[in-house]
Amino acid sequence: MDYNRLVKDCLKGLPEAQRQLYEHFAEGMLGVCYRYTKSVADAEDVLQEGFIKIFRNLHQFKFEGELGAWIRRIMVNTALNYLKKNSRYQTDLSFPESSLHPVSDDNPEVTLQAKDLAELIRQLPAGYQTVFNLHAVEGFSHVEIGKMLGINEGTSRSQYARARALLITWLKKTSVETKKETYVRP
Amino acid sequence: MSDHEFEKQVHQKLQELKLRPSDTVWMEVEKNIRQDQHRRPFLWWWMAALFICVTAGGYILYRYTAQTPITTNTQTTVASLSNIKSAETSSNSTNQSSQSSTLQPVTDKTAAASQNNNQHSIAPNGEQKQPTVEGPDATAETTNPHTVAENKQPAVASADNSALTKTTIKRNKKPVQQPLANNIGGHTNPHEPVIVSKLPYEKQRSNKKKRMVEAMAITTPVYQEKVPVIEVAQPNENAWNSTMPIRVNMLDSAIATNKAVIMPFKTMAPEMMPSGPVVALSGSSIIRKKASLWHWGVVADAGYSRITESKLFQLKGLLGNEKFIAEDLSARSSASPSTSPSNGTNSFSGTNNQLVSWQAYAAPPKKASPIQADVAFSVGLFVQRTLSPRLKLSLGLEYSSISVHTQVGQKVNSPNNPIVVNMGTSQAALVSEYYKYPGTDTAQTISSAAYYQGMTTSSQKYTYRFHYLEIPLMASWQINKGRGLPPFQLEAGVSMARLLSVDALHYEGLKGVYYKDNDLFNKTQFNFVTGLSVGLLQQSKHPLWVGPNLRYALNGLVDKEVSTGQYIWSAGVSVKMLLGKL
Repeated sequence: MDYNRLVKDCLKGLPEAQRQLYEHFAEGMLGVCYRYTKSVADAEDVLQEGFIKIFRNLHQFKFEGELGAWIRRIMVNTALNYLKKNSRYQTDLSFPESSLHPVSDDNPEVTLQAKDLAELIRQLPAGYQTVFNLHAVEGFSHVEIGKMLGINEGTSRSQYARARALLITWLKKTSVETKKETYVRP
Repeated sequence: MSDHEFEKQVHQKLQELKLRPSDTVWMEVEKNIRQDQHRRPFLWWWMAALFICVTAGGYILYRYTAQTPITTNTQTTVASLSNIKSAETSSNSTNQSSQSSTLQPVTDKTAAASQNNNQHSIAPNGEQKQPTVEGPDATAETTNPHTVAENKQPAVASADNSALTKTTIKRNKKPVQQPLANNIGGHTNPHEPVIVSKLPYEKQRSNKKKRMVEAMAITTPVYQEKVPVIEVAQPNENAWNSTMPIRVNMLDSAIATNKAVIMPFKTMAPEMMPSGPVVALSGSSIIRKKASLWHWGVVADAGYSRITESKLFQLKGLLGNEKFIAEDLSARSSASPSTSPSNGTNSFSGTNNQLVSWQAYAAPPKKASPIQADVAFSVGLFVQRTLSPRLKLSLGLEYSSISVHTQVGQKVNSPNNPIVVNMGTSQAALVSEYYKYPGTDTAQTISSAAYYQGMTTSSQKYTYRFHYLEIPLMASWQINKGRGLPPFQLEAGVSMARLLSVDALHYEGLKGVYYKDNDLFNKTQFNFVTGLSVGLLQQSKHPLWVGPNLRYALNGLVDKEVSTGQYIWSAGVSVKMLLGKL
């Protein structure tokens, strides 16, 4: 797909182009939003808000970079703002200062499907969930995460380590239960 | 498996995650895009229309002021006196007319009563008139008297207080299902079933709004049952809002103001009460930080200033190079130049600055040099109160420096040989230090010979400087939401300025001299201030407002006893920065 042309058409205000841009990225971006929120409705709210921002600021897109990455970045920022603004997440989105964090060298094989893995991540407390998403999935460094969330780098590391440990525990448990289920029902 | 294998797997897996959003998401996005697309041209049209209106208004004002004959020094004494007389006569007639038009007290009791009833919304039988509600609910409310009686407000004035009071109390003690959004739009009756039709924007899937509505629906009955009720008997039974015992919830006692008494059951959702305290409904207190409505900041203006002549609201020279000449304070004087040029000495013989007939100079009154624009600036602080999302009121304290310049001639300092200058209609003063008319270099220049021979060699620039301490009171109205475009706001207000110091000259046309007399300047100036500004850096901690502004003095620069009117005004660019909350 010629993204540059698509963006130019969107900037001209062509409804078909706008629809095409939305449909091309909406599913992937809802996956992104889904990982940061606790419900599908919230994820759709973020998606909606994010796409409104995208169309409103499309003129700022420089054709040098990749359109998908630009859109993804906007979605992530929108999700973070949503979490900060939404009172339901504010209590859970706390980042207690802690220099000690569990060190886990476990690297279990992830056999789950993407949706199930995302569900597990969404079971994490909002703070853990956010930091885990930003570091493990989006690839932000802890320094960047600290700046984005207004926390220390150490706090981000600590949160991430706890989230990782928790997730690995759940993954192992899920893996055992799956094996048992497989054994019982051959 | 490496340390990052887990992260890689997670990353890879989650990149594949795709979920299909519901159709409503695109509908809302599309709706928003279309709104933006429609709003932009409309805004530009609106701005263009505003610009045209302002330009046309300015042009008309300019044309009007330009056609007005400029006061010259050829006015005769007779004319001046006759003008004064006519002015006096007109002022007398004005007084008479104003006396005759004094409003008489209203004697028609019926009219007064009906007016009173209208104001208080009380029907003749003591029942409260329900507020008019548009839409299908309105008919039901207004045509069903039973409903009206049932839904009696606790704070309604009534003729038969005691009976109705008891009835009302009994009815109110029943646990009442508080209707949703009962107070939206000023509807204050807690018992009146209000059917709130969903507005389009409410149908949008916004979780915030959902939560609000759910919270209200769930918690309101609990609120009514659990909260103890206090009956407050009002001592003055005839007064409005005080004839009935008023039920005040304990919850409302936290905001026990007059407003709370009038609307005892006002239960706005927390989201709808930005400045009010939020009350916990189920034991756990929701602490919401009260947003401060007060801000403070700094303001600075810079531009140019001019002095108009003899006319209020002349904006000649706002955009062009038109110039005003300095006012001749002797223009209305009863003294007139003599036709005899022989006597070159002053013949001032009056006492207490009383004018005597002037015989010294045969030359006709000279036209003063033009007064040209110069730099004006002001700096100061202000406090701002947000009255509504778009309306703000601010009060400031500023130092203002206003200057203009003109051309004067050689400076003369002759304590032993002062000259007499006329001012106003019947005043004169001796001055020993003065500046001659520009282009003249000898003492003879004030004689007719020199005037006509045109011995012009000397001229210098003299800058008039006025320093004021100013207190502006401004109202600003944000004209757009500032979503697509940055926010624009119109400002208007008045300011009171106190003259701190001045370095300026007055002009005497009979002799063609400029002299200093600071006592002639009005010490207090009242200004009209207006402007249009655009908001920048609105998301930052220190939002900025930048735009053109105009300040125009409403009272004369010089004492009206000696001046027909000089008005100082300035135009420039104003920068206002909010620095913090109070």
